[in-house]
Amino acid sequence: MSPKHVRQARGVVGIPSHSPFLARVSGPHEAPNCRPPDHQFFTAGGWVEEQRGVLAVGGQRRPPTPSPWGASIGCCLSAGVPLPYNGKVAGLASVEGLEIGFPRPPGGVVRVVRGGEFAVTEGDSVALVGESGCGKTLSALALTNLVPEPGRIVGGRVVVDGEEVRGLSEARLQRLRGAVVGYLWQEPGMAFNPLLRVGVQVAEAGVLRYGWSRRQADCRAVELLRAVGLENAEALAAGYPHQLSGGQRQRALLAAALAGDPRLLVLDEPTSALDPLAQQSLLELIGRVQKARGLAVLLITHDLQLAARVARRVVVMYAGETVESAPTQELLAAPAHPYTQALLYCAITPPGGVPRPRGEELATIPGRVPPPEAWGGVCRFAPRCDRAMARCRTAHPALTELTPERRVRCFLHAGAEDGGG
Amino acid sequence: MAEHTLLAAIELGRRYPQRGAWVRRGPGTIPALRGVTLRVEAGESVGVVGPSGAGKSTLARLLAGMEAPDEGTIAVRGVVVSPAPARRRALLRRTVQLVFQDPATSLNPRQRVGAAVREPLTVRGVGRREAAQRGLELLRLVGLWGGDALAKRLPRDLSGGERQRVALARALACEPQVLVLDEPTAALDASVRGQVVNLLHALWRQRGVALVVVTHDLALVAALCQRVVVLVDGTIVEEGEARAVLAQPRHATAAALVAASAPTLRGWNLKGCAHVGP
Repeated sequence: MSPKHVRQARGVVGIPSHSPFLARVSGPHEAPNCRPPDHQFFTAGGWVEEQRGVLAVGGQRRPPTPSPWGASIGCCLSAGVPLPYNGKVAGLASVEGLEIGFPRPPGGVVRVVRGGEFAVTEGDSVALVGESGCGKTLSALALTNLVPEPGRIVGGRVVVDGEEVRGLSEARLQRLRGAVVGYLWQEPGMAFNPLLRVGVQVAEAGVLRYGWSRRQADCRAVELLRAVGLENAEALAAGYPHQLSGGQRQRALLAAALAGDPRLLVLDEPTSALDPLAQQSLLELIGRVQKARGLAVLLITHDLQLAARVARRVVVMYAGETVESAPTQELLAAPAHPYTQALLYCAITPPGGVPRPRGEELATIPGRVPPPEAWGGVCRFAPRCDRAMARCRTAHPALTELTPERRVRCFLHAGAEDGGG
Repeated sequence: MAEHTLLAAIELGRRYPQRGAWVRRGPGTIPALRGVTLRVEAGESVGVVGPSGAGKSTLARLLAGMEAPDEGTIAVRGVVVSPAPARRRALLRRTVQLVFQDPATSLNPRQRVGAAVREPLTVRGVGRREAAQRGLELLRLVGLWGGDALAKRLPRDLSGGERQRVALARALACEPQVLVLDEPTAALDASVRGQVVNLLHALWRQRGVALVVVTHDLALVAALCQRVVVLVDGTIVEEGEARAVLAQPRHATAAALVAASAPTLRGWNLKGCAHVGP
């Protein structure tokens, strides 16, 4: 950050340039423990301003305080600055009737998600389950309006932390990212910038949210890496992503996701690149982190079995829409939608616990997810469904409440209504 | 003994250069495999399991002749084919074919499905018309019944399971006796994984193709393999009948792998769901 940008930032909040506070600030990096009143950061989205209500006491050195949590997660709360982002609880994130569209050359828009619905409350764990191409990842990206260009949210409501995401300015969105919603991506190899040191990337969210100085960021990065169970954290933080093994990278990525103290952690196929040992230990780690911080978790996976291990609620998505949503136990015991039933029986080891003997045919779902152009006004699963009726091919079912906890989008269930589009 | 074994890898060793080494000549210093001996009889199915970094993929690449071992030899029916001059190495390539983990990256994205399957045939000198005919037969063999229309499609138009079946059809074009599969289902959805597993099983049973399944998915080994080899840090630590090893692993790492895979091996135990949430 150059002095010029700091000057611009001062202009924004209108602190007079003769302020005695500013007179002592020689620059953000020269006086690492003395924070200027506001910051600008260059991110992928452009210059972003961050104004904080808490001003550091001018000129006083503030060494990073030791964490009251010791080496456990949650060390960042000791950074001495802000309280949780907004102070709001419950209904952390909810998505209703989500539609995400991508422009199609001759002037049209293809809506690849049409009818995404799920909600995550504070401290909850929810799994989004479905085959690839069902819109799981896009729906999770919509939580912070990170839908990749040229796609965008074209319909529905996405409310995160009490705010409607669609209308938010880029600066407000930037505050949600990392500070309310943290992401752990599927491919740890691709999620890191190969040219930047691991420590810098791990601390980035914290730098953006809390304005950590470089020295503080280095310190926190090491603390975070230790907290996710990485040995030799100093060396790893100083190294580059390619020097880490797959399991280490995934842990470092988790540390990076936690740096901004998010309240919702989105895990996109977190274990599919890992061997069973690393999978197990990562899942256990995430469980510990979740308990220690009261984090909410949104797991994205195609593996219902993994979802069952982690989540209290399962939301099944098919062809861009939510088809079933239920508490995990109920869903596994009595899946209501034919797609959920089919997914359950696709596992190499089916429910019931008896491994299939070698040579027995494994169940599959014939056909494939239809492309968005073919969705029409009918049930999207009907072509692959062995219980499809005449009505399924002429009307589109709405997501209907079975019990207060369960919803399903299928005409097989009494009371299912025509949902249009 | 070795004369009768279809594929015999004896005391294989492979070293890779140290990370960041400027000169990558000669054998490296990091041992990826040490003294690995694996015999594959005709029509057998063997699983190779182990944690990441154990050398599973290195073994697969050596068996398929993509790399030459630094120590030890690979023999096909008693003929040493690796390390060996190019002419004899060709025998290894005819006998053993490798199928990669991710069909999205192992297939040429700009090559149509039919051309991809025909390519190994035309390389062997099969005429164009006959190659087209055999290509369609191969696609049907792997359960892709789309005919000409399917052969004209690009890999991106296919689902993950279909793509992996195209990769299998291509590997089968040279009529190999051994298929080495490096994580054949890791990149696939649970819903299409069964397609590939069923197909592999049918190929093994009906056509007598020997399978070497390299994976960390023990459920896949249980579903496909007769015998299993556990590889840890480049050496074989346990070997035996698949069901016996999975039921009662003796080596500590093998036991840890089995324990970590318990949820996938034992299926859903509704009471045992370890919920992370409060």
